[in-house]
Amino acid sequence: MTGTGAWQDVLEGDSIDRFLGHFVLSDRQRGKILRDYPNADLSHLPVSKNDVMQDIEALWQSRGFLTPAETQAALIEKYMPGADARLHDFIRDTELSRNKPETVTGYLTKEHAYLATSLAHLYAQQTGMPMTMIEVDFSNMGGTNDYFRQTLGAEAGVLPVDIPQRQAEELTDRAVRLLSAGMTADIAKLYPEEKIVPIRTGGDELRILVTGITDPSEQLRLSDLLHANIERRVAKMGLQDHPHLKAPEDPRRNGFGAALAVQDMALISNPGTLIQELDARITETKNQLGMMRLGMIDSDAVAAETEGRLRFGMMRVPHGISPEDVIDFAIDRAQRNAQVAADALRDMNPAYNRDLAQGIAGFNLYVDKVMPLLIQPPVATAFLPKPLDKESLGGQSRPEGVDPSDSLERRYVAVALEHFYEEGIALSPTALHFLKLSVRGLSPEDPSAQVMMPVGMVRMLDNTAADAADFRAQVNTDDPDIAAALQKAGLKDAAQIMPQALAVSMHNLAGLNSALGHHNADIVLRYIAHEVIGGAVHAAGVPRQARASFTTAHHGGGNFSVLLPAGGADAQGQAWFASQRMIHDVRSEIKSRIKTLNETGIAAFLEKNGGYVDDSVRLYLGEKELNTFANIRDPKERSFPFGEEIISGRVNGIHAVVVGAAVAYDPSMPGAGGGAFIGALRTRADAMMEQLRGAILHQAHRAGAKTEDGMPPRPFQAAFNSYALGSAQAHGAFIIGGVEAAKYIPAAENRSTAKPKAPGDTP
Amino acid sequence: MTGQNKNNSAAQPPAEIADFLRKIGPRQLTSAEARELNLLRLKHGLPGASGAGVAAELAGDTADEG
Repeated sequence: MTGTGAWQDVLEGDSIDRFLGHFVLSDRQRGKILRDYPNADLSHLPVSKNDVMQDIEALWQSRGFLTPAETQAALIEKYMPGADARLHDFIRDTELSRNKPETVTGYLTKEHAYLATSLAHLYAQQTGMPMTMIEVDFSNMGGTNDYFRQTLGAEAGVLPVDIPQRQAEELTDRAVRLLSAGMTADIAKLYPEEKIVPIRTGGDELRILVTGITDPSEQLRLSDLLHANIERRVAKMGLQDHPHLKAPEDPRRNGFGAALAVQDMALISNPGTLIQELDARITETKNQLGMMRLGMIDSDAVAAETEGRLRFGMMRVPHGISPEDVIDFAIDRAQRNAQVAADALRDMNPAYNRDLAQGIAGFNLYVDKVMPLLIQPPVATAFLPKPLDKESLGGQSRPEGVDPSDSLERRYVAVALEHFYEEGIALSPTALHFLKLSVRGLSPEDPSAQVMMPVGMVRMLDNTAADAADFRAQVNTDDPDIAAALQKAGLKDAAQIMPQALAVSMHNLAGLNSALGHHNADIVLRYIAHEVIGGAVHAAGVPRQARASFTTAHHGGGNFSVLLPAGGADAQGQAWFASQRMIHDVRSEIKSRIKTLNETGIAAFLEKNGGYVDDSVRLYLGEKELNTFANIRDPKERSFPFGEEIISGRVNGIHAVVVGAAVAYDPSMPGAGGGAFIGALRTRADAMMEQLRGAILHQAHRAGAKTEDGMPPRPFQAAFNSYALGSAQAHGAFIIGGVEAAKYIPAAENRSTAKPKAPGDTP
Repeated sequence: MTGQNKNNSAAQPPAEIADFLRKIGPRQLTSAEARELNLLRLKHGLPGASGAGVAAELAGDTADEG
């Protein structure tokens, strides 16, 4: 963990460190303000992160725990005493607009996840007040999509494949929304005075932070009640029984659902391993709930629970019987209750109770009836100030003073400044600093990778696409420097100048999570985002410190996208242009950097980059032979057909696939847009990655290697204009496309496909 | 702070659980380890999964067990 204060050792403490830093002006910034405005009053500003921390603690004392957006709004208000009320309103609304609920769950979006969590942990530590973290994981969303698709198909008398996938997903989203809203409503009903901060932290993961739950028995009660209500709602939606997508043979895993783990944040012993601990607890809870749906009970767990309750005074041994008798009685009682519960759930389930409304109509009827009854806890939110609430900030809507290559952040700031200029509100240097800080939040950052969220990339793509023609029109090809820059980029004339986008698909993020834990995996993810991808873009010729630079976004898991503006100028005014040649260089550079990463020692890397590593972790890495990133094991056994053979194995190490395309769509055309554009590029990268995995296993198989041992690095042939990147040690392959591929393809056709007789044999 | 009580327990997690987790290290737990962790938590009176409480809720059998 980074940081120098009390926040040093909390969960996601580096998020707080960065947050606090936003409010502290550097000596250089202070000096510049005082040079430009000698009478500027900076006395009310914090001079250190500790000052900001004290102000947050004062907020907790006066207002209780707050969401990150509320905290930032309150701090900015404090640091701008005497500022125009309209400016205060503008900044407060901008901040609180970030609490706008996420569309599926109604919870806060992931951008708040890490900061809210770290503030909550610190709140528990610093104030001694109770703070509970509830980690939630949905079950079998994929299987539920399939179930809806099949049911929709059956009802319409068509095959499931004729039902659009999105139609089924929308029904699963409704089920997710009902369970999400149900949990927060249940908590709010139990604890009406407490602050509840619900966040969607991932595709099927939620986190709910709640103040005021004081002891384990209360947490147990909450956990049981939430799970019971989840089970009731799932049964009433008729979603208890369909097969699990990944484990169709295990009836305990059937159906849709959600399981949760309740954690007292005062009892977090190791922030570096907490998330995997909670994941394990959730996994076990899913098993127990699955058994209960079938009317069964885990007697060991009931015995342990009863023993714990007796030991810690939550339960008494009645006079005249032994603790062992109490435990036996509890097991019998739990078994009876499980059977009653299973029967009761089936009775609520339209699949077993023909008196209930059936099918998709029945599902919708139930959701429509219950949703309005689930009263949600209040979360402070606001509409985005009107001047900022624009569909597009590009093309004809590009703000004055903004270049066609400028970032989203600069566009929003320009709009805000234009507004205050028109309103005749003068901005002091500190007001300007905080206005920019606030408006910057409209290009939200993914906290895992610390690059832009996908929503920002979509807006940025649309703006850039809309501005491409303006950018070309501004290029003076008669200028010898411009001509030289065009030539360097491999462009013949201004008509070829276009913004470029990349989709980067990384393999084995799941392996990193599994082997190193979430916190350490995040450290690697950030390194990949900034040093592998970002570093490669700079190495390919996009200058650092330039006004128009590039944008990287994280789309979850190992998926990234990059937008290169059509061009720009470096700090010395030297022009540069994006091009296919630059894309090629970025790919080559990513290849080289991934190779280096695969050869890098894990312990040393984590130590250097702020990961969680101590003597026990070093010992663990040694025992598991996790020396370099090439040793990171693929958690998934994969199978690929090759002719009549099916080859199975694991693809260890880190690999990348890069796909590039010019951003040459018209965002004003129906159906065209950044979402569809980057979606298509990502789909292609994912398909390429799957092909690469198959290629790696195939080559390992052909070489007679054990699937987890080394394999010879040699070109693999594929008709895609992309590169797949890795290292010799990490089973790397290099995919060559287009014209270059042709020279390899005949050779490939002539190769033997005979299967080795045994590991080590070569055909 | 309205409606909040100072949590004076300020307890550390049970040493047995802390040791168990320390030995595992940073990696994801196996399903056997997840089960063992759950049993340890339950024995220490901490929230865990037994199914008994949820079944009791659903069966309407939530009378004081003392």
